[in-house]
Amino acid sequence: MIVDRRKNFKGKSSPNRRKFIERVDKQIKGKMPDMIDSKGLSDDKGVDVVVDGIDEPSFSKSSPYDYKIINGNDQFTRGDKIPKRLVGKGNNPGDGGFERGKIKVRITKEEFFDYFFDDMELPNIEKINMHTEDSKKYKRSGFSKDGTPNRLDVVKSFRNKMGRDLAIAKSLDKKIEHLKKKLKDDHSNSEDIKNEIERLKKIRNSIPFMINTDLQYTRFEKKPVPSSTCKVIFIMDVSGSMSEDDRRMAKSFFMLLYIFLNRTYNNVGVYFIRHTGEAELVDEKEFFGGNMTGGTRITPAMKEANKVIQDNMNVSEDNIYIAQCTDGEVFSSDTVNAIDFMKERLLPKLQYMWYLQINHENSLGEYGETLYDYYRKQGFENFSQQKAKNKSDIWKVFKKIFKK
Amino acid sequence: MITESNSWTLPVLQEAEDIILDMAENYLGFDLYPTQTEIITSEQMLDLYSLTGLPLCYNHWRYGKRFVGNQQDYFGGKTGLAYEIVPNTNPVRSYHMDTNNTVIQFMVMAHVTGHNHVFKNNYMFTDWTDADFIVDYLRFAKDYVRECEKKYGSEKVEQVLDACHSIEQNSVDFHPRHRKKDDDKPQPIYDEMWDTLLPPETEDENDNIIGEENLLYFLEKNSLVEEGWKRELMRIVRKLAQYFYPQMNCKTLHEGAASYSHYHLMTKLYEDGHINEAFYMEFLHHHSNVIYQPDYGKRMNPYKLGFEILMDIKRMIKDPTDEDREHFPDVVKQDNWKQYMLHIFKNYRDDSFISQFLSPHLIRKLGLFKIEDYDERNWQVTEIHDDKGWKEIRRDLANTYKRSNLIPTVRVKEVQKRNTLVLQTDDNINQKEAEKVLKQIEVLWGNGEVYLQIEDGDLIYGKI
Repeated sequence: MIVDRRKNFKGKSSPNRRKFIERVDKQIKGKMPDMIDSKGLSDDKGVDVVVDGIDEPSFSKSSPYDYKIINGNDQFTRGDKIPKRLVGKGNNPGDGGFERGKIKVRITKEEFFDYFFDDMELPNIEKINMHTEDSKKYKRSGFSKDGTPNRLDVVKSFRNKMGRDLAIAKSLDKKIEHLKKKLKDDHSNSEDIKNEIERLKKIRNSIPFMINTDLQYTRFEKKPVPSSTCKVIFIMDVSGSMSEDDRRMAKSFFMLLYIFLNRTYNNVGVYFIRHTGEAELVDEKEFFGGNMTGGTRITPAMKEANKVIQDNMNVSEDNIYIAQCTDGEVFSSDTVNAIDFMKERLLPKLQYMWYLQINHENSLGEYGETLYDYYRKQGFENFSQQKAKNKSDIWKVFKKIFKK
Repeated sequence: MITESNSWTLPVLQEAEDIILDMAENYLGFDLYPTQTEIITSEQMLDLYSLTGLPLCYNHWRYGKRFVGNQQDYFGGKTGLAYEIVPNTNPVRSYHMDTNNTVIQFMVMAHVTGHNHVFKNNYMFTDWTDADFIVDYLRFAKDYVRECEKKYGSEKVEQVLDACHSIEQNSVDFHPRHRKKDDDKPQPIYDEMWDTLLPPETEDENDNIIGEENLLYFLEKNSLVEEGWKRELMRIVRKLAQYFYPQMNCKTLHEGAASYSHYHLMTKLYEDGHINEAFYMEFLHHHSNVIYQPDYGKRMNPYKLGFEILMDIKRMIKDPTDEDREHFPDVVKQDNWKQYMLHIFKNYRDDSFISQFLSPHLIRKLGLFKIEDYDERNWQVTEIHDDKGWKEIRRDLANTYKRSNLIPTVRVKEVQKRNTLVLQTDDNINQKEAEKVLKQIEVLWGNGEVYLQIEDGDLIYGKI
């Protein structure tokens, strides 16, 4: 007998694979920082992690025998020496990667982010908002006697039919039984009784298979689905002092933040504001590309952000966030202005704001205070400021900000 | 001609299967379980590989580990997946990868009939396994383990299973057991029904625990753990270890029989006009790949060794030399080589097969020789294939297939003060590994300590 099982694929090993991954997950977590940049994350293939295999101890002999029987003798006789490196080549199909102690596990993008964001959560997410129009969904809502053929619930309809059958048939059967008995005992009206039995039998045989009242259909109703939207504004300093590397670090940070927000909210709207001495709203390409020169002023960026909010968002309904990235170099007067503006006009509109300062080697010693220091002095409530020097810091910083 | 095309269709496979099974039974005289030929994808093959061919099993991370390892090796191009995988079940399921062409599909079908016959007729399998019930038992095991995970948590279950796995090789019976009926203890209802051992011949009052070599059996009956479900898990792992025991000991015989089978059946298919010359040539090419053995190889390819011994026996029956007559009088007097093969498939296992039938002729042909450790950089040749040495070579080669040479025997020495278990072994056991195993056994023993005495030396105990 030939059986084609190819469509049956249930992935039998998936629970086993998952169990194995759970056992090595501490190791996987440890490798997280190295994997942030991994190409597999951006193109959906998943990432490969090399972990130590798990030990499967068993009783074994120290050295089973002190001899070997091998084949292919073309020249040797008793007493000859044969170099060890010549012996023991050949196809050994059993020696998978795991027998050498290390195993390469491929985990999917989703699994990766599950690990990554494992013990993190967003602060202040009460403002979840109920949309009305464009997020209504059809949901199952009981049964009805009316409907289209595709909504017919066959099982329920059949049940109704059987109920009807039983009720009618039973009562008829009872009558027939009663008459049959009468026929046996009393031979006087036998002709009439026989006719009556015939008539009842005829009725019983013509009980319809299905009638309209048997049919039952499933019912659907349009119900509003609570959806949640968040809008985030990324602000980056693209003045001359921000190098290519700095921008790449900023990009990692923004990307992580974006993915993280996506896990909490249904919709995440992103806005990009880049600034030097002036600020402008741009698209993603210009935000991360583009070479600008010039000094750095914060106030225009904040004002632009405020404008974006006024133009595109509804403060009472949307969850608004800002993430800002600079290298910290600022002018004091401009900064004081910016902070006043933020305190009064901007921060009250936000769920939260994050500031990441990318510090250089000998940064800013001569210039006095950095933006980080200014912010810190303020002690804003729904605000967090962090510093990072290189790529591996990004991960640490991220964890720090969002630790549960 | 069944077909001349390299892409097969299901009707083509069906026709081939009918012819091949018929030939196996009538031409080679095989006695077979019904066959189910299943077409699967390479992903499904990977799945099966990790479960060593079983159609299903309880869930455990070690199968995940094998799956991941196999997956990496396969996709990394390091190994090819087995052309076929065949479990010992009735009906026999023969799994074929859909990417194989027609020739390979036919070859695999022919190959599987050999495995089928050995599963059904070899004494090790008939004594120790029940192909009819194993799938149902596995289903029970899988469900039971899952229920336990739900009730007691997967961590606890995993801990018990890990411990059982560490001693499963030491939990096999080699002789039928006289069992005590525990009438006062509640037995799970699956007990009698799903037993894969033969029923006991007599019932003995006292199970002698001293000297017991089946560790999971001992622990199941005597451990201090309170939870019955833990004992049932010990029982499950033990029963599956028992089920696999014959396969470990008959690898060469099995692959030899299956290669013998594919060789003769494919040749007959060609001779009878069912396949053309091109197919036959391609088959011969695959066949030589299957029985390839590199010189000075690390170990003997079981396909090669098994096939060559059987063909050598055929040669001795058809065309014996004086040397054959001298050393194998019982073989040369046979008049029907096909019949004699059936006798061999039934009554031998790897070590006895080799020690009875490996001839000086074949030893010379294979160029077998014995080497021993000389110093760090060299081996020294101590025996070769000539008249003086071939017997020792045969004996020593057969020895390497003896289970007792690979797996140490660990037995129960005594139980002290009700909660201290002392095990003992005469073999030179790897101490570091043993310490890890003893730590695992503590989980199964319950509330006490577990020691192991190695030869006459000191007691060692469990350490992580």
